Amino acid sequence: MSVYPTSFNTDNSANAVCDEMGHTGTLTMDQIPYAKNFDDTDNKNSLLMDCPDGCGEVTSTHPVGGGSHPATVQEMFVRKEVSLGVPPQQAIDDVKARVEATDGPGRWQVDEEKLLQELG
Amino acid sequence: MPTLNDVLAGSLAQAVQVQQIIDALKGTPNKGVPVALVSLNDPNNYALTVQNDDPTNSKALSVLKADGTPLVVADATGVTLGAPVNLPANSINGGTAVADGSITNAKLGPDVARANLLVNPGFEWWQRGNGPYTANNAIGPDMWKMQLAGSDTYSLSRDTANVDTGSGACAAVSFTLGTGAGATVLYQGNLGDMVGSLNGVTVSLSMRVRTSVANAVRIGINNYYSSTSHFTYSGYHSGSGAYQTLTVTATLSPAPTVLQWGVFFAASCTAYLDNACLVVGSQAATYVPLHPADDLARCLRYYEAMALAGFPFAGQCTSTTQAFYPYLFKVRKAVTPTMTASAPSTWQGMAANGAGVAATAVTAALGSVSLDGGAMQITTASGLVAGNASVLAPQAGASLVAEGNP
Repeated sequence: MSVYPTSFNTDNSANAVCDEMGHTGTLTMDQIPYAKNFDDTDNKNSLLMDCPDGCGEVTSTHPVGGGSHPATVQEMFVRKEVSLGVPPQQAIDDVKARVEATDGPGRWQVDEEKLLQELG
Repeated sequence: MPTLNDVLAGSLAQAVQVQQIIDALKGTPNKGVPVALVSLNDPNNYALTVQNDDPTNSKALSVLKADGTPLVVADATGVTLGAPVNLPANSINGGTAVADGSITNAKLGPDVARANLLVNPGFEWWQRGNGPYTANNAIGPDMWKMQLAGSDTYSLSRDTANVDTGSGACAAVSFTLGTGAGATVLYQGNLGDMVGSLNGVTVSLSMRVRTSVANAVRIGINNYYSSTSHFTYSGYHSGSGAYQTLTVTATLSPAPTVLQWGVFFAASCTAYLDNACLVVGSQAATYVPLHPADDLARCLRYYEAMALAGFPFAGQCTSTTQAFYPYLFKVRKAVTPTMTASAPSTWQGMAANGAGVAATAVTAALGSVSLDGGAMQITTASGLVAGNASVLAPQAGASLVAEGNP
């Protein structure tokens, strides 16, 4: 019952669903920030998603491993890095390494070839 | 054997007494057992063969104990042994000695209870709600996910009116076939933490299914390796309208990288799914209910709506406007979970004087959440004191959910 991405658009924005409220909508990568550490720095292993229709009722914190929806959440981390200027292959390698570091080597579920094609 | 009367010395033998002897020797029916000795010490056959010629019976042998009760009886109904029966040590009744550890899985009947490897096998737990669920990839009953193919559609709900024997709830699926061609599946799997332990193992899946449409529902096992699915299916439900047990067996070799077990839908129908069982071995096993505590514990490994009654977490204020509250899960998660929190208006932090301070923002997982827990942070307009302790005070509608799916 989380807020999660179902698919992505060419500008890297995420089409999102809020299970709890039954709401849907689109969130830009600017609207999906990294969570904060205790020292207020960005935690690149966590992304925040508010209910996409702006109701403010539900917020999900996704781990880089994917949490509730591994394939799309992992892809969201890659697209987040790309939106910040990281080259696609480097973003994939970086996120994949962090996925496997937190949840093990079998956790990576992104179709890398397909994603690379989409990211150009 | 008829009763023979002694003839007293000096008495004349009566005809009836002589006839008694003749009857016994002839084996006259009802006056003795007609027995024909077929062979005795026959080197090519048996030491003793006796045939009963009575056309209405096949009473071959009766050996009685001193009290007249049977010790060994062999007749048309089989061989009956009296008590006690002395069999070789480490054997079981049945006539064949069975050594310890010699009963194979293939000899087991389905009613021999065995360890069920599924999560929520009886469809008893619906932590996310009773449905109806209609979305692709939605999880309705705990750990059972519907994956749609083509233009297929479905509606899935918890059902207590059409359950199988020994069940509190089942999954009711109203399925409409589009272009899916039988590939739509309600499945459990992607279990990375079970892949290694089942490499090369033969497993059997069973499930109770009820539908009135023939060739609409079957179950299957997917041994995914070399980036390709390899499905093994059961036969289809006959469409009898009654619960039937569908079974399928597969050997997980070559070593899988993904395992999936599921229910496949190939024709529009309403189907009721209940009481599934996944066991190691070539023989499927009948579902045996798990104790509710064990059943729920398995579900909590993937989804946990945290109990928020009273003051669930104690924490510390880090400024006049922020406090954080560490929490632990009841069950270690299979993977790092997504943490989802309700709106800030549903949370308060307790100030030093016991007054509730309303949150204006909430973070379900400050920093990184782990398999075992995390820390929640609230932000307030004011009212907190850095360094003070604080307890979290959930308000109406508050929820904090951990969800980590394979």
